[in-house]
Amino acid sequence: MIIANGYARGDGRIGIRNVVAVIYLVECAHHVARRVVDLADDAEVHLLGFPGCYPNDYALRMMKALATHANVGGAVLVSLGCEGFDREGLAAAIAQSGRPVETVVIQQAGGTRSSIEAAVAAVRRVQQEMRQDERRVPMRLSDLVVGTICGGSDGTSGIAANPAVGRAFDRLIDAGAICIFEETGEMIGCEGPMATRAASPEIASAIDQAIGNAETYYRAMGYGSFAPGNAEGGLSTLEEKSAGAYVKSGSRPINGVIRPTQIPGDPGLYLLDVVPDTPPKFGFPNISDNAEIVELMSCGAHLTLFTTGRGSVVGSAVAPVIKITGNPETFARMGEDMDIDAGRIMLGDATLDTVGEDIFDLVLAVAGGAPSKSETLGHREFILGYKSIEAVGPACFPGAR
Amino acid sequence: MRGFTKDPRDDAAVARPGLAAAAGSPVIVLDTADNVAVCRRNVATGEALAMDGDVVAARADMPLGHKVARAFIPAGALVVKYGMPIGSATADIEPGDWVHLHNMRSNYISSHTRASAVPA
Repeated sequence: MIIANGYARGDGRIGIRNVVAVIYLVECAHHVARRVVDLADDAEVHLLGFPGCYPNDYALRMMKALATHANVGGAVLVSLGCEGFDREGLAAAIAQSGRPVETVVIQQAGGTRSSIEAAVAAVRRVQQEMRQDERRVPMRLSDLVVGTICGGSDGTSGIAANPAVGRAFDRLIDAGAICIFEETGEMIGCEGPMATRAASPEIASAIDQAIGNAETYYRAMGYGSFAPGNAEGGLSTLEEKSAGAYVKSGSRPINGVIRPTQIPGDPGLYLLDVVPDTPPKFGFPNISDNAEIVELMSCGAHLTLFTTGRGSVVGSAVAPVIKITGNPETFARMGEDMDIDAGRIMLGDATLDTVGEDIFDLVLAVAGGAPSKSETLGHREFILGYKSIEAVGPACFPGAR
Repeated sequence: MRGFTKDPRDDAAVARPGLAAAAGSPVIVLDTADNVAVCRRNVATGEALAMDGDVVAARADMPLGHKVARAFIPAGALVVKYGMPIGSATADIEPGDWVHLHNMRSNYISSHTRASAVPA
């Protein structure tokens, strides 16, 4: 089934959007980069960045993966000049992928105004080159990578929105798509049933190891992946939240455990292990939901299904976010931000299957170019921090790209 | 896997007919093994809550998404939802009681509100 007129990239990937990434490489270059995006005044020019001055292997690998994401057609790097980020290495990786890239170094360009001017001109040139080389190709479901995440969970999430996403995942996987669910720290307590779904004994042991590592890590940090809003919404413990989060994964076999920046090749379901190696080095694994969305994107996710009970409003740079709430009160209050009303399941007005169908249909529509609510509202959140995590997880996975 | 009994995804199969059948009740029971039910809307003290055959009076005001005890849960016993343990009772819990941070805790790691932490 052809689902979109996709953007073919030089590296063989196919995108559902055609984004120019404007990337600041240290907080000191953030203002210039943000002004460039503002002045570009284009829904497909997005701001990405890394705040730290010290180099970090993970951040460099992540930025390479994001700047060469299927939805990204070109990039403009904004560097202060003296920071530790390997701007030459990042630019080389982007160029090698066949994408146009330019770099503006503020200390060389002459300061704030001249850098903004130079970077806006660079964005125009990159866009010009993207237009010249534009190649549209039919995109099939087997070309699509879909991630899922829950945020602002409550007592309805595990009953309505999450299992409905599980139904949609089953359908997407059966049609040949790659689906990724995540946060090993939010699967603590579900390791037993998850391991029984592993496609091989190696993957089962990788799941067990990843969850064990997550528990050790979060215990050392003193907090589980549990926010006060979860408690206000009726969730009492991390394992209760986990059980509800886990049902997003649907029912298909788990094909592999991947780490950030690993892009699966074979269709099927993957667990993304986002918890750093122990002992803890740079703090919490992911300080907020968007850090997880960014990691899903680094594994190739073209779009993300975001379930929320309390009512999150976020979207994302690079890859559209579709928001689904299982709480009818949240939908009534915040309908302007919600793409799918799974609260109808709580009220007995819809079933998991029908809402799962609605989600599946919306995935196809958004892949085909229809904007999600968060895209229409201009949400382009992005956050990337320090992390210490090996590129390859505890077990290899089949068909790596 | 502290006291793990079943795959929580199975609740989806239970919840589906359960949700339809319970459309008239303010609460739903996700799995027959559960000793708590979930409020499908805000519940007021004294309301009669039909839960899979039992009828229990609510002993507290409970918001949508929160848990209410179906049965007596002695202090130290497992609280079971989705057919799987989601923590342990820290006080005796009567049928109809609100079940939350004040009377249960995690068997894995602490929970917290903005004001305080509930140790595991």
